[in-house]
Amino acid sequence: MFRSRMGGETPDKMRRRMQWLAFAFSLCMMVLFVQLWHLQVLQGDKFRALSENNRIAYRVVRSPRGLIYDHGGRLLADNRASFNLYLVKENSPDLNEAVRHLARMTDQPYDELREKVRRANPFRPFLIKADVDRKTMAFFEEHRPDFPGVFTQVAPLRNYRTEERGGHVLGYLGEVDGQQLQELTEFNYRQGDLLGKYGVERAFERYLRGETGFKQVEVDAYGRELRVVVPFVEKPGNNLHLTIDYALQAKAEELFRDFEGSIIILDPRDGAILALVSNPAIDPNQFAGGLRGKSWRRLTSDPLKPLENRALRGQYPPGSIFKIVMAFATLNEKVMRPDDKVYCNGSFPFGRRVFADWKQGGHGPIDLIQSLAQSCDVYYYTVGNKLGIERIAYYSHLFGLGEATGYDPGEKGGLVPSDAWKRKRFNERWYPGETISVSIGQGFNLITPMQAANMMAAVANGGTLWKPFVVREVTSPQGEVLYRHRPEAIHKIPIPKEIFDTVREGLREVVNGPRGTAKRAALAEVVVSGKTGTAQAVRLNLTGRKAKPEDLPRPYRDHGWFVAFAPYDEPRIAIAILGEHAGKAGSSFAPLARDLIAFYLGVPVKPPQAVAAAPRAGVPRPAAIVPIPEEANLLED
Amino acid sequence: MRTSAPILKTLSPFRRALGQVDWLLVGATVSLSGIGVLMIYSAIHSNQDLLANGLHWKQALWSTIGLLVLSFVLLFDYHHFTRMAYFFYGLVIVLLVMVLFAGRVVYGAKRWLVFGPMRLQPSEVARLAVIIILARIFGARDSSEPLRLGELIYPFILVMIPVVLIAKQPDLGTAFTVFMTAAVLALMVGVERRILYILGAGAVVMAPVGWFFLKEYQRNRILTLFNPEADPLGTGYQSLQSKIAIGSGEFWGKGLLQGTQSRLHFLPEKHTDFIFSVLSEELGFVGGIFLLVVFLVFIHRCMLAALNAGDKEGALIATGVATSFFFYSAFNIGMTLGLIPIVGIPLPLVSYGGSASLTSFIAVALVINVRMRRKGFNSF
Repeated sequence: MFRSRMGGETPDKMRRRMQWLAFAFSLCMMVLFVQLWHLQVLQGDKFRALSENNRIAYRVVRSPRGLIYDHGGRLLADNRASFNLYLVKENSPDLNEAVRHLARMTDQPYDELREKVRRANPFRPFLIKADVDRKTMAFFEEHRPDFPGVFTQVAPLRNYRTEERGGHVLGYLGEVDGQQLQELTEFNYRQGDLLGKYGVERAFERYLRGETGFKQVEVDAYGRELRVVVPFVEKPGNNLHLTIDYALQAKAEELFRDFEGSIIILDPRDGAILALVSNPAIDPNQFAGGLRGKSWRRLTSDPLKPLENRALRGQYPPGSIFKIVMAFATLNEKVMRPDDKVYCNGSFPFGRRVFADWKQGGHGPIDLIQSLAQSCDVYYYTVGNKLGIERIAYYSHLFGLGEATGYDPGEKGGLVPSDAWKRKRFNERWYPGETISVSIGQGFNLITPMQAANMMAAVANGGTLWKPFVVREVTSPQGEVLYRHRPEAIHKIPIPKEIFDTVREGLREVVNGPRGTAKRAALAEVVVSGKTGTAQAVRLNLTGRKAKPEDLPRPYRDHGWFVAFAPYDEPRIAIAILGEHAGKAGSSFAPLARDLIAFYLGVPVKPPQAVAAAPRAGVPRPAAIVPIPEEANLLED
Repeated sequence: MRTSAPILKTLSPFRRALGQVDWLLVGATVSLSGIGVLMIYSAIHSNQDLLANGLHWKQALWSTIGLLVLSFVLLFDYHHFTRMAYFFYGLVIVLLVMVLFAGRVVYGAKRWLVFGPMRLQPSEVARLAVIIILARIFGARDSSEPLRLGELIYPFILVMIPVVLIAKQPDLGTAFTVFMTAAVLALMVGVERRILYILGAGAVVMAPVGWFFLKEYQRNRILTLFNPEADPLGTGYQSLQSKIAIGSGEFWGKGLLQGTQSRLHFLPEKHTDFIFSVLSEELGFVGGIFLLVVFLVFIHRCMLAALNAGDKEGALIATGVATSFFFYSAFNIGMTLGLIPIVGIPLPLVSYGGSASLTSFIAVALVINVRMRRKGFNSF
């Protein structure tokens, strides 16, 4: 009924065209048939294999690192779960937007991150940041639909339970760098792995490291794990048992908080390191996820160099603690007998120069024991001049000064000057006048706090110079002992016991004698022996020092030393304290050492009674004992 | 027995009409919808979000509604629709303009209008409106001579308005198929050779120029087509993933719900644009061929209706529907098979989408309508 109004019947031409069209449709459909046949039947095998590869991914699994315990079994370092933030570029439709958010949330410069992402493999998860905080993780998990391609994964991360203490002993981890990656190929390190960069983390890397392996997982296109196909059984690293006494370490750090410098505490019986402080300290947790960027730059550019382990790498003139070595040399070379006296009038003329004693007016007639107790400079100018630089150098080496102890490859040696050294270094002969300043530990002498502590340990134990160590045992996760440290002597010091007894007697007088310079280190229940020292930070003219230390700018202020051991009869602790530019404050190192010794030996910090300070029977004392105000003693040297 | 005769007599026009329904076409339509619902379920069953939305149930509901609408449309002569062609056309243009201003943005494209719980995709309706209005214009033409340039200008403008609006969404795939369907209808009516030559030459000249107007990702998609493995993790990713899904299905398929590729989200948009990949992976060559055959049957039944139509108008409607279905299915499948660049085109009746399904059912209804009212059968 509509037809009349409309265009009427389909013309034949049009019907023919429609037949051609239907034919064309069929032809095109045939192409689809053929392609389907091609893909599914002819190439089915290939695509089946591809589909398997597609959904089975190999995931790197990093086993947790071994645990670190202190000597009492207290856990110092373990591992905690951390969240790593990854981006799979290909799944991110708006990469710029995603990177902008990621940069903001992880506090990274946008341009830097953009550039790194640009170079990343588009289909592999790219690590945006390790150890993101829970807030960031929660944000991206919650907004997952808004950030396709961004995901988080759990990984074990080093966790130091030391409240920022012991950083220089424990060390820290860092991401393996390109060069290391090449060097360590056989050990199966991979990009993004963390390895020990410092401290025992580095020294015992091969024990601590957990095995890295792969698990086969079924993943979706976002790289998310759906199912583990072939698991990887974690093989955690082995556990370290340190010689460190964490309580002592903590106490030392607390007491030394306000100084720059170092404290080393050794067990003189075998060289075990009981505590090692280097200030400014580092917090190893800061490095746990690999420290980069701003924080790293701040640490490396800090003028106080917190990354430098001052115990091993700080080189300082030994000052008066060098008099210990001089005392041994004097007695062993028979330059003086113990009772021989040198008259000290406060100055020592030599050639055209006059070397001053720290005490104006002098100490009067003084024997070896009192020379140590009162730290008389003139005594040592005298004996030093008689010994000569070569013999002084010989005895320095005997006590391990000027040579790395072998504790750590990064340790510095220091310097024991000699004629040969000077000729080589300055192409100039050694002048006898130079020997005079070396005799009291000034001049070219340089030692590390570790050497000072080790020397003191050797004095304490009667002549064995041990190689200090910090790991007593390595055990497998199952408890099997894989390594046990056998104390290793660097050498036995060839000096007779009587001489040791005499020098030790002198050191006891330093603390316990009426004129001792470190009376504040004395304890009631334990006999402490020690030696104070002040070392000029800048070589000033020894003959005419007038300025008060506190008037000098900090870099010119003296370094303060204190070395000690206790108990006197059966030493169990040897200690060296160095405060950089401590100036007058260095006088507090004696009581500081006393507190540490009391703490370690478990005795009260109580000064001995007057009676206890009286001369022991059989040891000759100077007849006239003139009490000196305590303050005066603090200004020795 | 005899008592039923008057009733049968009363029903006879219905019976006669029912006899004229192309049951094969209805069967193909229902098969495609059924396969669609099943494959949508399979595609989303590992994605809890989509599954919770019950997309497969929604699709089943739309298919059922579509079937009811189809039956309803059969009650009216298709000429009623061509008479209202301008009304439909105007409505579609209004909706398309509304999309530009008030459309819901999904995946960076504004394609949907939201009416309460319903989402309407006007571009789907537009393809049918264009077919009807062209059928009306060309059908009303008395001459059997080829179309002259002057005669082409008006329909060209009518077609370009929705095409441009759709392209702006942006939905280049749909815009392209709408334009191509219109072009095929013009060719069926006949176009002067002169014009064809000019257009042919113009296309040759414009192709390289047009290349510069494409965005980089669009160019990459085209380049990738020739060598998808060159950048398997970049531009060629979707194409390669789709081919892997299909190819790994091999002859018998991995089994329903067993498609690892689609289940693991290697395929994006798997319940819409890549539904054929899901099907071919799970049901293999057998399933893929079955679907292709059903489409071929569908298109051929439409073309048959066109050839036997009672008038030009009906013939053009049926041809338009056949062409539209052909372009959609061939482009979609060709894209999943890695034969043509990735363009966002759904597989009609199979892919998820309410507007598309409903429009498809109406289109089928129109074709059946044309067939029912072919020469000598127009009394109902």
